[in-house]
Amino acid sequence: MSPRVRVEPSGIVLEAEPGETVMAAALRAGYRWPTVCGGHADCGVCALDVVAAPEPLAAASAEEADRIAQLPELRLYPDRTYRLACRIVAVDGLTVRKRGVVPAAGVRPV
Amino acid sequence: MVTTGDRAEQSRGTRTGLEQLAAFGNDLIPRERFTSREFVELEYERLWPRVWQVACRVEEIPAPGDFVEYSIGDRSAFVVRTASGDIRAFHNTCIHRGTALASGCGSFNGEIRCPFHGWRWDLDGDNTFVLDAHEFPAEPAEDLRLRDVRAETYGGFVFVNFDPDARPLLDYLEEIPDYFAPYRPERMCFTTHKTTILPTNWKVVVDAFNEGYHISATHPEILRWKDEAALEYTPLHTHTRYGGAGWPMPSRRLGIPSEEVDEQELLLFKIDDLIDNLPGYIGPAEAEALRAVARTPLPDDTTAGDFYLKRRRDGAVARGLDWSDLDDDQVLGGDDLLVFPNFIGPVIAGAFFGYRVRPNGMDPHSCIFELWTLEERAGGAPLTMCEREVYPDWREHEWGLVVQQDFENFEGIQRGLKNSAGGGLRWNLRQESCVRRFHEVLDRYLFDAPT
Repeated sequence: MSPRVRVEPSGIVLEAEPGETVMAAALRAGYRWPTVCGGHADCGVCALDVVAAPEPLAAASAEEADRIAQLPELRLYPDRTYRLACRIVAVDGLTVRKRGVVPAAGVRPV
Repeated sequence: MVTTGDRAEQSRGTRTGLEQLAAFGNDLIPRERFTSREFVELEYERLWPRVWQVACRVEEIPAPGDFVEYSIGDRSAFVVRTASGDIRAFHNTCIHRGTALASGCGSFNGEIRCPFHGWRWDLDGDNTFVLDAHEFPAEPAEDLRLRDVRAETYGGFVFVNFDPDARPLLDYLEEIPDYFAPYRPERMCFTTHKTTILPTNWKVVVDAFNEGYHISATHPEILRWKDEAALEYTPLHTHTRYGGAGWPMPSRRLGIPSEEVDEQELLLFKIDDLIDNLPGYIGPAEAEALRAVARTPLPDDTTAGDFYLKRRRDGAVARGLDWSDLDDDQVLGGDDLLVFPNFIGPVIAGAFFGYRVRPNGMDPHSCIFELWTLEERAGGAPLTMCEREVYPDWREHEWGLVVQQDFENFEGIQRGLKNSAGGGLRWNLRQESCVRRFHEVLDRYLFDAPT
């Protein structure tokens, strides 16, 4: 069974392929996920926070952890667990919070 | 259609072939403008001797005899406060055997004295002493004066111009005072004066601060609270301005629907980012009060913009500042101004965050960079000078995240520009329109190009 990931506050449920990142699963399903670097773990704009995880998540790589450490969100909410959507691999039962995840079709090009 | 060739023919460029480096119309931009030593020479010959340049601020020379040297390449002048309280500037050279009379900044002890043979001048430049004067051919007193450099002030900034026939400063500045005046720069004074050397052409630095197009890739943290794609670009005839987009909101590039925007978070992102990552942008007197108040819960139906605006205005009143000439856009955001050719930065309510950048000798790959931050003082409060800091290696100092991010680009920009295989460069028609205008004006000086 493919891993299912829930995204708040929109309530979107993503069905990921095994080994797929959360962002890749969203893009494949036709959603827009905020990013400016395009999935290179550089801009930090895709960061999500983990609301619930059914199993211990695989630890962030050094690359991902370095970028997360610089997130302004972490200064506001030091107790939250932030991960980069372009790096975290989808696991079943994961619930994350990310604003701006919307159907790509409804988004005006910038 | 006017082609590069036609325009070059119209120009009176004297150096054969250099006209090819002009940046005309929609042609690609020759990268040698940033890398060629001949281009540096042309700038020293045709640009720097003819433009008004910011030399110092009035609060650096409060008392008679106080001076600041300003140099550009081999040209050096010093600005001095005279006995009557006026400001004058002179070429920094003794008329006897040529010795430089001023170095850096400091104070003449009532008179200007040459260290070599002890000739002296009063602070207005009139000669007062020649050792063994009877052993020189007689000369009119006028010929023994120090050589004047044009010096005029606007908004507390002292400008010099090496061209004795230059038009008055206020004519040169065009609409710059219209943008600057509501912020009352004449009531500001230094809070930071830092100098360093950057490994890139001076124009790369000007260009980097003359657009907001680089914000999303270079400063992505700003996207959380600023819709930088909405910045308005206003190239003037000679100078440039951009601004607007002050109302706190996430960048449209993030695609966050308005109903998902958290106003409290927005306020904290904006205030923390400005205070932590652009130290000096909001003056120290205001910064900590603003940070504290942003952590109190936002009242219902109050947006981050409403709250920020009200707190800033109330804070200004409490500190005795008069912001009545500033509209809400100006209090929320500010105006990024380029005073052609080399003084650029945002002026915001209560403060100015400016960069002065000059070529470093004849090296096209190096420049002298200064960060000047100013803070507005209440009427009657003294306008003071801060400590000057010099960092020969920019990496030896913490500049704050945003400036650091810009600095980290420069080495790679210059290294890449040397790689001529990449061909000509391109500018965004809207968001880099001020960059284009800067180069068009530069070409007006270098090649007599029409604008």
